[in-house]
Amino acid sequence: MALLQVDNLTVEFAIPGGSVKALDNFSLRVDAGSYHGIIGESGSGKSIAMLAIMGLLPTTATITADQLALKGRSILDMSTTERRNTLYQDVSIIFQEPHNSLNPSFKIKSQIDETLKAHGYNNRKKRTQRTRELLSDVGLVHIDSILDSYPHQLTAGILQRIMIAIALACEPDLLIADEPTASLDPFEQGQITELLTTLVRERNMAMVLIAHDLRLMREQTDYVTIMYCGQIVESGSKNIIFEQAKHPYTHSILASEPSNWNIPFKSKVPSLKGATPSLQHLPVGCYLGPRCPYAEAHCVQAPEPIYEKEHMTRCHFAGSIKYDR
Amino acid sequence: MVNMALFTSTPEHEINANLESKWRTYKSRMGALVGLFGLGIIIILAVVGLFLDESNLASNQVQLTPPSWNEAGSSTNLLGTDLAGRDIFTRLLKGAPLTLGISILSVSFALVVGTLLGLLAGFYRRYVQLLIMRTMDVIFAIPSLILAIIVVMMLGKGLFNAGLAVALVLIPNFVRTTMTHVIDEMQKPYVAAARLDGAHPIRILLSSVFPNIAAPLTLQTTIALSTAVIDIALLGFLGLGAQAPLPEWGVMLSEARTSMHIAPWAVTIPGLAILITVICINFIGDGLNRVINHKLRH
Amino acid sequence: MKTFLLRQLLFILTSLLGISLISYLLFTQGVSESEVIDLGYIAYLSQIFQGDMGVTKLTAEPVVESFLHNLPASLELVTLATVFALLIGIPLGVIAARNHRSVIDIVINNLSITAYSMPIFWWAIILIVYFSLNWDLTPVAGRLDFIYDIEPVTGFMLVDTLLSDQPYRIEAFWDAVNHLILPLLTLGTLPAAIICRMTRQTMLNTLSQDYMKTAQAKGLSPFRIYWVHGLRNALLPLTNMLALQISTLMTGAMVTEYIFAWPGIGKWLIDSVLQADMVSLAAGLLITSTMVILINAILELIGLWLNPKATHNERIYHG
Repeated sequence: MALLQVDNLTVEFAIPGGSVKALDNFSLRVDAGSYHGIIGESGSGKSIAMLAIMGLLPTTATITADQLALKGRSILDMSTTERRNTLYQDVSIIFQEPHNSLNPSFKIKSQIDETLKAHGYNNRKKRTQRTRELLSDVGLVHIDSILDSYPHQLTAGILQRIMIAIALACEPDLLIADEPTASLDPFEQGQITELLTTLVRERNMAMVLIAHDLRLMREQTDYVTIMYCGQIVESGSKNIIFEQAKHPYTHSILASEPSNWNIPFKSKVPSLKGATPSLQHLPVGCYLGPRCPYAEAHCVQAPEPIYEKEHMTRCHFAGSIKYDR
Repeated sequence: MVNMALFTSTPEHEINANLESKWRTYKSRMGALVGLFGLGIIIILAVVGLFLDESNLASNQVQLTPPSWNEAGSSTNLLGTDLAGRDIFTRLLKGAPLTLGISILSVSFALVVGTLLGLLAGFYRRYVQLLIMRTMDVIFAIPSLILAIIVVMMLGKGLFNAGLAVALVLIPNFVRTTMTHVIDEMQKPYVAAARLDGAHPIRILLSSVFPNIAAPLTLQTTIALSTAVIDIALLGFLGLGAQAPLPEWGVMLSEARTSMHIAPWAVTIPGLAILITVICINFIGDGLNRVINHKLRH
Repeated sequence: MKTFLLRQLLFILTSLLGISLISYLLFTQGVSESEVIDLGYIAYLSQIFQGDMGVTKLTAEPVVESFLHNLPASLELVTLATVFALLIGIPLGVIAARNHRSVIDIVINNLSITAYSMPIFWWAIILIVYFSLNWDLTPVAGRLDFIYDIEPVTGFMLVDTLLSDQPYRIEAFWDAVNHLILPLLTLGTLPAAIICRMTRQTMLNTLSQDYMKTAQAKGLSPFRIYWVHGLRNALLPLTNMLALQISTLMTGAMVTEYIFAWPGIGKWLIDSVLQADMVSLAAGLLITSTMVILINAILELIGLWLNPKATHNERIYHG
């Protein structure tokens, strides 16, 4: 049984004049201990997917799915209380902006304390002990002064470590990290990335990482998903994606990274022209169509996902385009 | 090569998308539309009232008859008559241009003066700004009614002076709004670039600053208008603004007060007129507010 | 912090200066009418600091005394109206924000627009017509039925009735409450509507923040999420909200007191105006404006004190 099973998750928002499909048939299967990477531009739906899974979207969002289950139990129709007792105990999420992720009006100590209380730590001494444990697990040293501070007094790097500590408080089976290092300076980025990887491996947690760091993806992940305009355009095991990717969008992403390693088709891929369309004015048929160098007439028909072993591609030419290497 | 036009799903005439989308956002709030519609009707009625003749205002009718839907009322007086036997409906119509008209004049005056002062204060900084802002702060600190009263006491009672008094009360808000936005805009890089290029300050003002303050100013104007209507009616009610026997709505209320225990309609109806007018203005303002904020959020 | 206080002080002083000038103009006009000795501006100021602001036109009693005599009634009314506005406005704003775009939100939104569009003087009259005249539930005017003789100790009727040693003191208390209801509703409706809208707005802003998502993902109870995390931040601008309401409350109090014959400074001011008593008006202007300025400054200070970003400024750097 998969830890997290998501089938055809769709999210729509009502806007004056109609609705916007922010997420279109998103599917994901996370097994215990597996490491997933999700790549995509802003607006591609990657964050929305995670928020939808966690039940954190505003009430103005309409969420539908064929299946959305954690450990076999459907979370789609769960009440808030049920979610509190299951989902939020087994899955944690950390966000991109550490300064915004913590309440600016409360000290760090109280924010960690209430987390522990919510996860069953009723004894005050145990909470204090566990707090110190958690904070030192994430590599923080001056714990007393940190506990006594307000979020705006600490640096982003420290705040993000605190967020990770809070996320680990419930000993989750799955950790979702939505661009955790995007707001940090390069030095902290490396540190936080390493910290996350170490922690996840140590505790055999499953991980879903949304990021732009291709090298990290290549080194650490088991599976990679690429998203565009709310849809998954390609997904599969890491090796297949990095060596046998078939979708033109994936190629453009892989090709845009500085070459530290051999990308077979780096120099020969025609680049995408134009800009990513807004979700309110999506093209007819394949969303990449207007920009794709390989587009042909029947691309105005929306491509169905093509499934191969550990590989899914949403493109009419998944099997047939030959790329010059 | 494929015809890329095949992929577009939206019509080509999206050039005016900006204004269109703003109208769509505004339209989406029912209240705002109702407000616009309602205010339109009231303005039309006010214009009618300007040209209406005086026949129904003669005191030869039965005093204090209830509105036509009441069994004691009659259809000749749609909304009944007041203490002096004058038809209330006619008086409402004749009073509309007074209450609403003077309010619009008052706000217009405050808008022009306030915006000018705000522009000066935002542009010239230092001493000009200091002087203007301090004066505005003094006016701001005085509760609006007291300020209006003082102006009326000094200039004399009357509808026009009430309008001036209210204009004075409203000016600081315009000054503040304009000044804040002007300073905001002036700090933006493109203005500095234009200045370095040697562009004349007035040109910068007109081409770049003005369009950006149009929106908050419009919002401020609706707020000011709603305040003005209530304040002018209030001054009329207190006998400091319009004087009897003018059919200004506030005066009508004050006159009807003495007989409110036997003729509640004479007191309810003029007040309702004020209320409905102000609600319409405020709904329009609410709609405008959403348009402005919608833009910011997306 | 220090520079801020200095600037505040400067601002207060210059504003007071401007207002005292206007006050002086009014005073001289009133004084010349009654042919009392003319005063220079400085002399006027020094007189004020000695507590003498002239005498009222009608009764020739010292203005300051007359003013202070009427002050408690206003304080009672305004304070209770503010509390009422907060108790109604804040919860409604929170509920509207929590149910954003639902029917409840639309209803509350439209109700609040209607409420702050109401002319106070009309609303007061309507309340009187229906509650007092038609249904005979509440009295038409005044603070207390004249058959009760209560000793004014604090000046606050609710307190004085309970402190009195008359046998009918409980009856008198409820009579005082009865007299308060309509003025309270009249004065408090507008601020309630505005506070409701402001709370709704800040609450909506707060709810969209990431830390609210964090709070929910932690598994906290909905109560804790909204009422502790959410409200705490949404109410930070509360002192600003209240400060903006001061002027409105004063104007509203004047009108309310006038219509309900409530013996407070609002009615006192309007009576002065209708009697063309410039001296009293000058004093009234000075005192009320000073109150507005002072209360604004105090509220701003409280606002700063409540905001951890302002009080805890030191960044903590760790290697």
